[in-house]
Amino acid sequence: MSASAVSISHLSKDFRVGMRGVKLRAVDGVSLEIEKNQIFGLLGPNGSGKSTVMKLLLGLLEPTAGQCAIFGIGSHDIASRKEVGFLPEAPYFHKFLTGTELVEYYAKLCAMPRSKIAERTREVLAWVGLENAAARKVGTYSKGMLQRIGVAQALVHDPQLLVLDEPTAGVDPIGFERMATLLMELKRAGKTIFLCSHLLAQVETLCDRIAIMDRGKLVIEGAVDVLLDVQQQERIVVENVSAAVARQIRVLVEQQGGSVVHSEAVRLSLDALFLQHVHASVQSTEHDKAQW
Amino acid sequence: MVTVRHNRVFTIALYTFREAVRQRFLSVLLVLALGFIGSATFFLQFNFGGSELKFIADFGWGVMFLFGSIVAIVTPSHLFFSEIEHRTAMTLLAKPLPRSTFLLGKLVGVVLLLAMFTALLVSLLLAILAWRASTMADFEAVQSAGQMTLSYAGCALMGMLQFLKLSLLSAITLFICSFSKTNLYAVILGFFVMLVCQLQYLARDHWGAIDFLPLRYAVLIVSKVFPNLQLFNVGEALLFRTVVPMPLRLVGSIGLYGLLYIVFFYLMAVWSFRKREI
Repeated sequence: MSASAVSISHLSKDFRVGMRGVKLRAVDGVSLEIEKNQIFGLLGPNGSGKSTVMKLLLGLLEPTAGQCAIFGIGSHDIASRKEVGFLPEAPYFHKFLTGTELVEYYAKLCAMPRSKIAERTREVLAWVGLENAAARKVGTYSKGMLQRIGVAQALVHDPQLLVLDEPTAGVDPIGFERMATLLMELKRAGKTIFLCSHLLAQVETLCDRIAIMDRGKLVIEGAVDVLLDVQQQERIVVENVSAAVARQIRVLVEQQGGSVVHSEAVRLSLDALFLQHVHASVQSTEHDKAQW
Repeated sequence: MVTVRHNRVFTIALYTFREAVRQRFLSVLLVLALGFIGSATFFLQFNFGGSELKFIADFGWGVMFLFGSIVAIVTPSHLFFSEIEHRTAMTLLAKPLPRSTFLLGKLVGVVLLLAMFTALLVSLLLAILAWRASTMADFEAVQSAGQMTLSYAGCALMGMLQFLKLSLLSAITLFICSFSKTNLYAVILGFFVMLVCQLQYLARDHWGAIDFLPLRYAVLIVSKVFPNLQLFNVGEALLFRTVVPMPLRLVGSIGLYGLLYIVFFYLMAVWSFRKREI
């Protein structure tokens, strides 16, 4: 049986804080499995331990207890990171480098064959929509562009697992839509994506499975559809019906033993309204590809 | 524990060098150091005679050590903590990149910077010495009598020893950074250790004269562990060759001493950094 992409078992992490070295338990007995070719969301409020779990998985921190493995290789082993691309929260990169130089730098650090670096760099920059800004210094990039160049450096060595820490934090709805499209393309290409976020509504549409953390503990985990479905309730949206017809529908439901729980005029979400108007105007300008 | 990937070391070193040369304080220090050495041309007014060249040389080595030690300590500390604070260390170490390779790349990058720094200062010092020697009538007489010669090769050798000394300071600073929590602490401790290393010869020569046993053994440990930076101060012997010049074998020994200590402190940094939480 092939290994899961990510396997975390009874993971705990304590930090010592203050002069007296009081222990703060940031992660408390977390266990989860992420299968290959999934988009897995680790969700939770600020300070719930999501980023700490990611750092433990990547070997940036030592666990107090428990184990993590990537494609069956323990996180303490450098080899486990060969198939991992990581985007940290609010990424910062050396401002004096151009986009191309930055991605090539990380490609060299991943020991990519030198003959393939230039071509692969162009490929990933095109994939994230930064081919027109590749020659500009990273210090001139907007926040959205920094997120995209961060994804590019994470993808350059063609890893099978992407670990993204708050990939949509501080990004506007258009930027989120583009990030979401990119992540879906990566999933179709066979990649596994492990992301964490505290913006729950944003990632609801992206993830196949989610886990929610609170105060270091895993409180729930499962497939998004299963967790979010409200049992024995159905939403039916109708249009062009009069009040009389609506009353008849209500009576029919009650005759069949059901009840109408809620009825209201359908509203667009604010995100949808924003995208309808702003996205359309942005598409008509020359700056669409270069700016987020 | 120590895994080094040569290509990646040079990749990190090159980018570290590029980042380091952009630091404003480096430009200021370089200009000040060049200015101070250049000001030796004004010593002409004081007319020290034959000893003036020695004074210029000592002044030059002193300026090189003063400003060079600031570069050697502040630069690696700033670059290291910049990676930590901006979290670029996370993106780097999340790659299949051994921590030993990361540290070595940082050290080599700083060493490249120090090589450039000392080369510029030594070049200027050489130029001033050559110019001053050519204008001093009594020095020509001394040289003609074979009593003393100004050795430009010796000056270059002394420059290399100063470069090694400064690289050693950087290796020590990198070790300090590997366990320090803040940039300021690393810099202060770095300068303190530099002072200890400058006075190490006192510990070596006088530890046996201390009556208080714990202090005696503490001083003994200091004399064994910390390098003696005074060993590198052989400028006069190299620069002004007398009838019996300084053997090159001795210069080689001093160089090897410096290299061994650089390797020692690099390995200490690797050991300390291996479990550091990023």
